[in-house]
Amino acid sequence: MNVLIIGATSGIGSTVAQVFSQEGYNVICSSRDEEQLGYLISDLEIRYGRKPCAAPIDLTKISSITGFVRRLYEDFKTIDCVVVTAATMPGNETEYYDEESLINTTMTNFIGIASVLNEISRRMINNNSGMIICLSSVAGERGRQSNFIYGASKSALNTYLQGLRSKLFKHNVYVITVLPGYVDTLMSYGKVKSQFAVSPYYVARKIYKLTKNKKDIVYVPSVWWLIMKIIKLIPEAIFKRLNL
Amino acid sequence: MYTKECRIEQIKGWGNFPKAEGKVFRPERVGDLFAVINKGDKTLLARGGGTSYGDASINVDGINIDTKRLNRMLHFDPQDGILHCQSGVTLEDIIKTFLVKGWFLNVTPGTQFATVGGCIACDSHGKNWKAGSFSNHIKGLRLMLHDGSIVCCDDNHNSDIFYATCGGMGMTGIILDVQLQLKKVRSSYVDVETLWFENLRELFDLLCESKESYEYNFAWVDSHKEGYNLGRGVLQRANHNNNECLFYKENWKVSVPFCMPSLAINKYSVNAFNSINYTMAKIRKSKKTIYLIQYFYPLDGVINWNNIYGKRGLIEYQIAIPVRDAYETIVSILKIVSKSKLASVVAAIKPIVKSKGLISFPINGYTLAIDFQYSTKVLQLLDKLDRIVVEKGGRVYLAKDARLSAKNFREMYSESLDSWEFIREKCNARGKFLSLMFNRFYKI
Repeated sequence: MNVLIIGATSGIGSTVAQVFSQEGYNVICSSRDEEQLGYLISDLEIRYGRKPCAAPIDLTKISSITGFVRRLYEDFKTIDCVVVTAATMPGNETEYYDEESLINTTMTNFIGIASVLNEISRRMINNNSGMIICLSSVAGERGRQSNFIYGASKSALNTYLQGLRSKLFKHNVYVITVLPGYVDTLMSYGKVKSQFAVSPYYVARKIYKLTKNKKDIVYVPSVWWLIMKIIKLIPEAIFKRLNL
Repeated sequence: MYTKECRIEQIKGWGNFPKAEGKVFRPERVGDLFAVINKGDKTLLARGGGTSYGDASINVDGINIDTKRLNRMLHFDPQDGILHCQSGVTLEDIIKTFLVKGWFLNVTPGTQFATVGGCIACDSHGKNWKAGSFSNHIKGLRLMLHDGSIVCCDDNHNSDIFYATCGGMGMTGIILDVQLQLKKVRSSYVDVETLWFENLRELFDLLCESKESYEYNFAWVDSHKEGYNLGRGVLQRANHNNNECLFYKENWKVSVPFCMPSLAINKYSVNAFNSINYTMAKIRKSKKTIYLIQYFYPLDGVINWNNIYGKRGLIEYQIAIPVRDAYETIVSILKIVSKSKLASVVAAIKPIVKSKGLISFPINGYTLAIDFQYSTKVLQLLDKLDRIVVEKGGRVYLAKDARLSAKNFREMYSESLDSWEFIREKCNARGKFLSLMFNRFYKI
C-alpha cells in the first residue's frame, strides 16, 4: 500500500512516517526541506529496513503541484492514502497585517494543500478508492485575536475538506479531518505547558488507526471535542471581549 | 516559519539533586540551532537524555539545548558496522534497531536512555574494561562551536578538539553527529556467572582471575558490613553467548510514579535488602544465560527508580583509583562509609582502563560507586573521602557528581586539565558553554 505523507519532515509528519514504515507500508515522504527529507529517509531505512521514497515539494509554488502529482502517479501508479501534515504558523511577533506572513500562511495551509488534494482526489475518483487524512487545527473552529490568520487558513481548509468529503463519498474515497489540540512539536514548544501537549507519537498512532477505522472529523485527543463545543457556544458578544 | 522559542522548565539530573529552573530550547533540525547560537551573551549547554546524576547537564543562566529530537540515523555500513547518527539518538534506539541484525554497543553505561552525544560528553564506561570507554569507539564526530561553525574531528583531524570533547562534559560545543563503531554479536543472550565473596580481598583475587577470561566484570558490594565481612558481595562475570539467536523484545517495566517518602531509605531497609541480595546469590544457581537487555540495564526495568530516594534526591559517589593503591584505598573508603551507615543499596566495583579523552574519568584502575540519599551529613562525608581520593591520585566521576569542590576537581584532573583549558580557549568556548557543574568549578 502506498502512503503519501505531505509535510513529512514536520514534527507530526516524521512520526507518522515512522509509524507507517514500522507497519510495513510503502511510504512516500514529501517536504520542501530537502536536506531534512534526506535525513528522514535514511533514518527510516536504517530503522525499519525499508527505504521510503522522497518527493520534494514546496506547497507555496502552486504551479509545480500539477507536475508533482503527475510524476507521483507515473512512479507509483496509485496512491492509496494521503496524509497531510504540512502547515505553517506565523511567529508570535509577526503582526496580523504582515502581508508576507498572510500570503505564506494561506498558501501553505490552504491553497497549497487544496491544490494537491484536488489533483490527487481526481485520480482517486477514477480508481474508485482511496483515503485522504488531513491535519487541520482546532484553531480553525473559531477565530481568536491571538491567532486568527492561522485560524482562518485552517478554517478554510476545514470547509474545503467538508465539501470534498461529500463530493468523494459516493466514489468510495474517504476524507478524514484530524483536529489536533496542542501537540509537543516546534509549533507549540515554549507556548504551552508541556503537560497540556500530547506527544507526536500519540497523534501518529491515532492517524494510523484511522486508516483501519474510518471516521469523518476526529479531535486528538478527543477531549478537544468538548472544549471546542463549549468555546463555540460562547456568544460572539461575549467572545469578542475575551482575551483569547 | 514560526519562531523558535525556549521553554522554562524545571531541569534536574537523574539524582533529583540539584533541581533548577532554566530555559530549554529543543531544535528539531540542526539549522534551528542558529536561533540561539552566537546570539547575545547567553551561555549554552547541550543536554541529551538527562541521565547524568548531578548538575552536569543543567544550565541555569543560559540556554539548555535539548538534543532529543536531533535523533536521525544517517548511514549504516553493514560491512564494518559503523553507524553515522545524530547525537540525540539514544542507546535504546540503537539496540532496538541493530540487535536483531547482530550488532550491539561496544561500551554501554547502565542505562539505555542516555543519548550518544551524552555518552561521548561523559565518556561513559561499561562493565567491559578491556573495551575502554565510549569514545574509544567513536570514529569521528562533528561539533558545532560557539559561533555556529562546524568542525569535523577524529583521531587524525582536529584531534585536539576531539580529545577535549570526548569526556569534555559538553564544554567545547554541541555534538551534532557521530560515527559510532558497533560490535558484532551472535546472540541476544549473555552467559552470566554469579559468585559471592566474603570480603574485598576475595573480590580482588576473583577479579584478577576473571579479568582476562571474562568480558564483563561487575561486583555489587554490601556497604554496611564491617570487620572481616567488609565489602562482602556478589560478583557477576559474563561473556556474550555464541549460539545464533538474535531477537529484540521490550522488557516488562514497572514504574515508580511519584517520590517515595524520604524515610523509605534507612539503615534497616538498606541492610535488609543487602542481606537478601547476598543470600540469594549464595542460594541461586551460579551460571545462567540471560537476555542481554536484562543483564546490561537491570535498573531500566523500573522506570524512575530514582524516585525511591524521595524528594531529597540521591547522590552517587563514583571514584576511580589507580591499580597500585586500589585495594587499600577502597578498603579504607568502605570502612568509613560502612561506619557512617549512610550508604544505600547500590555499591559497585568494576575494573576500568584509561581513556583518550583529556579529562575523561577512566584511568587504569578500579572504580567504586556508592549511592547515598542526599543529606548534609553525606556532603561532609564525601568531602572527607575526596581528600583520600586526591591523595591516591584518583578522581570523581563528573557525570554522577553534584558537589565536588573546585579545589578537589583541579587536583583530581590536574594531569591534563591545563591542556584541556588551552584547547577550550583556542575554540573560544570559555564563557560560551557552561553548566552548573563547571560554574562551581570556576568559582574559587
